[in-house]
Amino acid sequence: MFLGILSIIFCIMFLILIPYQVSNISQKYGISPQNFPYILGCVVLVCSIILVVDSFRNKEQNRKIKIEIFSENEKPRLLKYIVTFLLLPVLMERLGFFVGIIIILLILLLISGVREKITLIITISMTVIAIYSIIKFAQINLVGGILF
Amino acid sequence: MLDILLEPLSIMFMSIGTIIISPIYWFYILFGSFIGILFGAIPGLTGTTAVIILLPMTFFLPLNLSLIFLLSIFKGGMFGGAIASILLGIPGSPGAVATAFDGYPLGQEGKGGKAIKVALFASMQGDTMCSIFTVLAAPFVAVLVLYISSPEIFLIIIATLLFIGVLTTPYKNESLVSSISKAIIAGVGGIMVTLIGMDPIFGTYRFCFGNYRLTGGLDLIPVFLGLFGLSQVLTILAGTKDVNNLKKIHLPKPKKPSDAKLSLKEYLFCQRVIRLGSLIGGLFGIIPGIGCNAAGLVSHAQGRRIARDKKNYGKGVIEGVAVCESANSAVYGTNLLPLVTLGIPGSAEAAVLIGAFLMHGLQIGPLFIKNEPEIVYSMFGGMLVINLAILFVGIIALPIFIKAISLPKNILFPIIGILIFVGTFVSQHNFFNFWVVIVFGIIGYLMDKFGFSVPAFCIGFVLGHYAETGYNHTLIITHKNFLELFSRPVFLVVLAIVIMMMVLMKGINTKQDKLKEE
Repeated sequence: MFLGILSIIFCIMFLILIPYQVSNISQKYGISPQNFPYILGCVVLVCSIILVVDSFRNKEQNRKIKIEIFSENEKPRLLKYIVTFLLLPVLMERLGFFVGIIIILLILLLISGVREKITLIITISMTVIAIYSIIKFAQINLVGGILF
Repeated sequence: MLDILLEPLSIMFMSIGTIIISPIYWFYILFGSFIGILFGAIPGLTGTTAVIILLPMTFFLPLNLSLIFLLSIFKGGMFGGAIASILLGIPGSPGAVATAFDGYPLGQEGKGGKAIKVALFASMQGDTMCSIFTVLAAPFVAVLVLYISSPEIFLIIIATLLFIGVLTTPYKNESLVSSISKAIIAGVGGIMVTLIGMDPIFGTYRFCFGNYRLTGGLDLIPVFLGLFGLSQVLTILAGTKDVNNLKKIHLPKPKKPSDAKLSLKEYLFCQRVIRLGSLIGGLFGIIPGIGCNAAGLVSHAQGRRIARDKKNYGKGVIEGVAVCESANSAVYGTNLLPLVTLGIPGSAEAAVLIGAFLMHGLQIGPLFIKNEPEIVYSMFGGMLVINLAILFVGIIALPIFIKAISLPKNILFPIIGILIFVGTFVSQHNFFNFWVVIVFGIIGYLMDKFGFSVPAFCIGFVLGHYAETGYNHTLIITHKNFLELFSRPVFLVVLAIVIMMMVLMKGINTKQDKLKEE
């Protein structure tokens, strides 16, 4: 039911946004650019209502079977990984392409439970060499930074 | 009638000749097959993930070479999925679910080597048979599709999204109605994303929120990298309590040397089920949305009827492996038919292939095969050579793939995560797409968690502009009166085919659910 309500809220927001985000000035053959977005919004709205109604109908059954969507400690783990990935473009822009990769890969490996120094060094150096080879092979210009 | 076939076949044979004598083609085919099988063999990764990661790198290759490279990864990935199914009982790819029914017991008896070889040969035979069918059918279908226009295309797009909805297996304890609704929401959600940027008909900007980077719309590669790549990395890294739990796998050793080998007699013993699997897979591949999972399950059930060893079928016989593998690989052979003739991707893999076409500036649609016959038929020719290459790589490098299953996931997946971002940068040279990858990675992760179909979203995203153009053209043609469509004979024929397919799919879905319950 939570999903259905969330979809309904998303749809209503989407439908409200259409007049502000889609210009209605240029009409051709009496068709407005807003037509198609409205149709899509309505389709999702109908499906979301079906979701809510259906979950109401199966409320008893759903109550009996409790399903865990996220495993134990999954949310904090997910958050850690997402924050790390978010740091990647920031570090790359400020410190350089390879420095960003080395730092982020190190963090990711540590979060994933890799502790042996030799494994960390070999993994990071092999990855950097592989990426450097790809970059050279494809003749790509990297962003400027402290290193590269 | 032969005239229609003459030109395509001559192009195809010429391209096969070019590939055979060209070392660079061989390098990419063998490398692609190796990578595909490797990714397919590692649980949590698929051939699609490999293609998505490597797609940006192919930007620098000639189109033909890049397509053949990507196809070899796909096909390799399809077979690779069987390795994990047989040795671990965990399907390496969605199509290999049914392979585990007979493959895993064989693996536990120490006959893993034999089962993998049956899977390899059956897979290649099924794929080759259906690829030949596709080559012969495509020129005729291409002539027929010239009669259809925007309303019919729009109808086929809607039908494709509905097919995915109907075929969606209920998520956890959900009802079928909720599952269909979710699949439609996912498909339409994909179309909604294509609204960002310039309107293809009116030329106005929409949903840009004042950000100039959004005016060109969202690129396909970062969106796919997020949905298929990063979401998968997040699922494995964050979703598994012990990321490295697959490190201590014990693979039973063969009891006698013949357990690891496949004799010609044993292979010929499976011919009957392989032909059945190829037929089912070929038919399922033509219809958009069905996919190789259903093909594997249905063919396994049907295979029981004609199997020579009915008593042990489902408990560990090579026929059970052969029928599933020939079926799920055959899907890939005919899956290209709706793609090249109509521009409709029948699966997430085909949608990714559209990404390669778009990246090289080619527009997919009903006129594609007419305008670009060289590309299409040389791709078909390449498919036949790829099958030979996969046989070669599959046999030679099998010990490497078996070892790869035990690779520590806590090392492998962070590297893949980084490679996804490198791929994004390589293709577009800007950091904005990093944010797109992250956003769609999270969306893909959550969609997967809450039972929304990611392939439906991707197909919606690829078809978004076609759907919008088709819808607006239909409004213009019919003067906003959709009832006028029923006076078009071609529309009625397409509608009848769509309804027939829908009924067929409902039957397949019911059968699939029954099989899963069993």
